[in-house]
Amino acid sequence: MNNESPKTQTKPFTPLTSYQTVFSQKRLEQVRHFLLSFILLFLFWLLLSGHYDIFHISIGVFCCLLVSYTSSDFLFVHVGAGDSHLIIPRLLTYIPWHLYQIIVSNIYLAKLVFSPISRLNPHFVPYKTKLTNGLALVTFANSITLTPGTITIDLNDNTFYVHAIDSKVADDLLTGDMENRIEKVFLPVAHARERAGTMLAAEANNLIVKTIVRIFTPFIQIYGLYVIAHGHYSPGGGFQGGVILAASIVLLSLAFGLRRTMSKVTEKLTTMLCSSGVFIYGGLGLLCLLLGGNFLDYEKLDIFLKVGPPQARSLGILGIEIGIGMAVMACMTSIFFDIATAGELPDEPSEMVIKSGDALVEDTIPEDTKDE
Amino acid sequence: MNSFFLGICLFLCLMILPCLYRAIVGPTVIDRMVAVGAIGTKTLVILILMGFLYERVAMFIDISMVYAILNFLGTLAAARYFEMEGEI
Repeated sequence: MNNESPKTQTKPFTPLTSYQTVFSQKRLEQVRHFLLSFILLFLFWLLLSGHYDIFHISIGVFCCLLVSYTSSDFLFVHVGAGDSHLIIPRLLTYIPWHLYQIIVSNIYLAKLVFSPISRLNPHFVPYKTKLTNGLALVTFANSITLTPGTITIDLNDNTFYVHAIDSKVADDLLTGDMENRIEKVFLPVAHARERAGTMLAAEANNLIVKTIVRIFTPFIQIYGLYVIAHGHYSPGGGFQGGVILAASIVLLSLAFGLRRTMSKVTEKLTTMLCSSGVFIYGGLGLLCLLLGGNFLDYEKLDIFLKVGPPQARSLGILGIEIGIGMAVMACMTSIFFDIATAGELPDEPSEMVIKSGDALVEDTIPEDTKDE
Repeated sequence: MNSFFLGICLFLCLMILPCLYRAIVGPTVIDRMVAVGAIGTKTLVILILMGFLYERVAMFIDISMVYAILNFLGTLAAARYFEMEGEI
């Protein structure tokens, strides 16, 4: 954080004030978040893409830059990027312990289910927690749900409402062992920062859903871009990738409300994306026509690209896929917005009306799996 | 190994039937939602096992990831809808 100021002070003739205003603490934090989310997303891209040549990696770098530019503030809300190097090793020691717990209670639950005398005693347990950080609360809630026998129903004013199938399972939870371990994982954040309290007040409603959606959205978008870019090797392509990208926006508006999402993804933006997608598709097709081939006869593009007909065909398909992806994403998003708002935005941000979310989900099942 | 995967696949397909019963008969809408979610999770595992059977795991993992996203999205949309409506 303070690495920047001694460096600037050693140079006597540089204008100090301008440097300090540009690289203020908040700005530095933003840059750090951008870089760290870029690294995470690029690792995810490398994991997905099986092609490690310069062409595909440069597409990946471009896509990851795009997504981390649009959603760099999504991943690090409750935990700053500066603390992540402390938390990730601790989390890695927590996960094996939790896996062991899952196996143990799985065996216990199997015994319970198959025992001849029914000993089930389903009941609700209120559990007051001492955790304050948002991500710690979400981790704890998901750990409870993942452990067989207990399910988190609600999180309200630092109290978890847990459904337990048996009194032994509930007693295991009430010993507080799991909570203490999670508290240890997030210890650096709880003591170093005061951001947790203010963050909780703003995000008190649906904290779990909001946090999970916020973490997932950049990865879903990277996945959609991967499907578009690898359309000529694996199933998918422009249509499917565009629908996955639109699904990420639908997910955002389900979690954060229609009004807040539409202030970011405006109708102007969707209209522009839609028409420029169609323009790319039609433009490439007509370009082939002008060069003396048929409509979408990609081989003719070799005159500009100079890479040989097969490579030119591949690049042409990629261009078409990008255009289709943009158009489909914009179309699906605006259809969703139109149906959900029914022409007018509700007054309260929380009063979101979704008339037919299911109809949209049905459309998103990939129909044709193109395989070239 | 192939017959092992095939066996698991068939077993999971059979296990879908009780969920399907709950999804069709289920007295409340919540029952149906949970049943559909369980079927989705089982289908995901079956897809990956089919990938092993056809020896094209990479392709089937791509498909199953889309399935996972849509399953999550569908459950969330339905839950949100019933939260707004209040009545089931």
